[in-house]
Amino acid sequence: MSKKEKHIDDIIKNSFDEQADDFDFGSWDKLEDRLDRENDVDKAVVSAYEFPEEEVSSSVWSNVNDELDIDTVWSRIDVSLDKRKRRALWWWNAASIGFAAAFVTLFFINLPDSQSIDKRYARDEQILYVDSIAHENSKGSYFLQEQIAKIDEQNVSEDGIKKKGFSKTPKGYSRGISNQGDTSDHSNLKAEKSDLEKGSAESSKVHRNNLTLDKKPDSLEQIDPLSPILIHDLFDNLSALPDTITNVDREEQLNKNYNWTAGITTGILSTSLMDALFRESLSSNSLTSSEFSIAINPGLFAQYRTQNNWVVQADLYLNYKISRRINLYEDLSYVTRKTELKYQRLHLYGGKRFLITESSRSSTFFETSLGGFVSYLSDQREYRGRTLVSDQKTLSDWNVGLDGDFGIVHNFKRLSLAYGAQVNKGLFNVMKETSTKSWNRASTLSTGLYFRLGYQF
Amino acid sequence: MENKDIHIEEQDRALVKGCLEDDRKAQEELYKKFAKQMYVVCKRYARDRDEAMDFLQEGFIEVFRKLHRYRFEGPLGGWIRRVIVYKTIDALRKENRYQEVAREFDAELKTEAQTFELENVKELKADRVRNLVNELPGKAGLVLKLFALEGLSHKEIAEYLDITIGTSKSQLNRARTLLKEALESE
Repeated sequence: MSKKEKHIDDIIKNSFDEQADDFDFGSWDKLEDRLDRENDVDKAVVSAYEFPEEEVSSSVWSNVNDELDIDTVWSRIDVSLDKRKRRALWWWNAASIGFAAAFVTLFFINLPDSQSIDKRYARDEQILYVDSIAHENSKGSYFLQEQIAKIDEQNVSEDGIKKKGFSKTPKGYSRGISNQGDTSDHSNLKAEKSDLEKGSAESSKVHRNNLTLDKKPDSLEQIDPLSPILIHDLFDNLSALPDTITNVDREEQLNKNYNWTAGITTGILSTSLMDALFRESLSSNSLTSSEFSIAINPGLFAQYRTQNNWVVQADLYLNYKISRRINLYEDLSYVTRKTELKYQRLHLYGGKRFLITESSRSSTFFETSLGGFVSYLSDQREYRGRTLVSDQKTLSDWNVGLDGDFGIVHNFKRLSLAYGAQVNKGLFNVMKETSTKSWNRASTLSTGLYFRLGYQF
Repeated sequence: MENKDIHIEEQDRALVKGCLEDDRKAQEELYKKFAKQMYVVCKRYARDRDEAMDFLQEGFIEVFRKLHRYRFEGPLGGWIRRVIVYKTIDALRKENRYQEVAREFDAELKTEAQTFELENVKELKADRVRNLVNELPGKAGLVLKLFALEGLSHKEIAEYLDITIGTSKSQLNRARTLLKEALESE
């Protein structure tokens, strides 16, 4: 075939079959014409392949029928498995999101108040003192102004001085506030006279005014600048000091270290029995599948906290439930087998708290702990679908395991609210059979969330 | 005639609907309605009756699996035929039998013709044409069958055999030419 008669773009686009190279295809231009014209052979071909209809063997439909049966079953299994997986997925996602949202929300609520004056309460001394820091006046900044008039025995009466919270000392005038409400008891608070200055709103010069204790606290923190509004309130009218400073009769001391906490605890847990069936359900080729199973286990707790925020805690559950739901393909359909175990359980664990935030009213900690449990099986039931098939104890009575949890503790006055994630795993084989083969071992597993509400004392 | 066509179409719709709902009776009814026709189609590509039945069986399984794709844009029989032919070609492709159909001519058919003492010239000619088609080299015979017997376009043939449109046309041209030359030489 002459290459001259081939269009190069057609060659590239419509490459020839190499096996036909020995055949004279003629020119490309005439091919289409020939295909259109020389089609009489097709009729002979059609005629040659007109076979008469005949009966088909019954085995064909039988085989097709069997294949359709398999297809039907698989499509139903596939749909039901997907539904279960989706439900479990939604559950866990919702729990995770809820937990994360609660954690984040509480964290931001308890951010330190940047306007607050640092208040320190001596543990043993019920004296409130205030540290204030004066700042150099500069453009745009705010400054602390002492609006205490120059004390002049001639201008200000003793009563007037006392009303303002100051009393006269040999060295000057001091101001102090104690929780006894006795403003004259200022022995631990001194203010040097030289530190006091006449001030006014226009004064641009300020001085540090330190009110110091004879007995200094263990630590002092940097004080944030005071807002103009607060400053105005403080020194225009000393009686308008924020309640949190002056009103020491109203509240008990905050941040007192309560060592003990006791209350109720609840776990919302996904529980399972890790045995041969469970391991089989993990295989993607298996018709056995595990279902999501939630148990709510209320109990009591008691916790002791040391000064360094180490904690020791005991939890007692009188009706700790572990349930397992598994779907087995039996008799051409899916059947749910449910195992319910009830334990009396005692947890003991130790851990540590880490301070996150602290304010005058509350404190928030991150707490993590590890420990173990011992449990006694009080009841065991087996269900097939909704039917109770067995109420006999076939598992071991005693179980021992490990557990761990981490979460947030939120203390508000004497109340303590804690929540977080929890995992506990049984170590013993709960099967009563003596065989120790791995395929016959079964152990308990619970993962999920816990909530504790306690009273501090 | 039009009323009859509409009636047939409505029947087919009901059948398809029943099959999609996993109604085994509807599926069996659909199979029985088209089995004989499709068996004829399968025999065109098979070596023998057994193989033709295998093609028919696999073809109908594929039909029921793919039935949800049928959009009533043409006759149901035509759609079923297309699915079965494609499934058959798939089977041939796996066995690399594009070029083998002619080589392993259906001895049974030949024997049958002799057994029943066929004297019909037309049948003898048909037999001869089938032989010649099966002996065509390369993809020529298959392209000819798909074009002439199944009514596929070159684009469809090219897509399904994974060849270019140009190759489909050239192979068809080749098949016709060789077949014509062979018949004229007799």
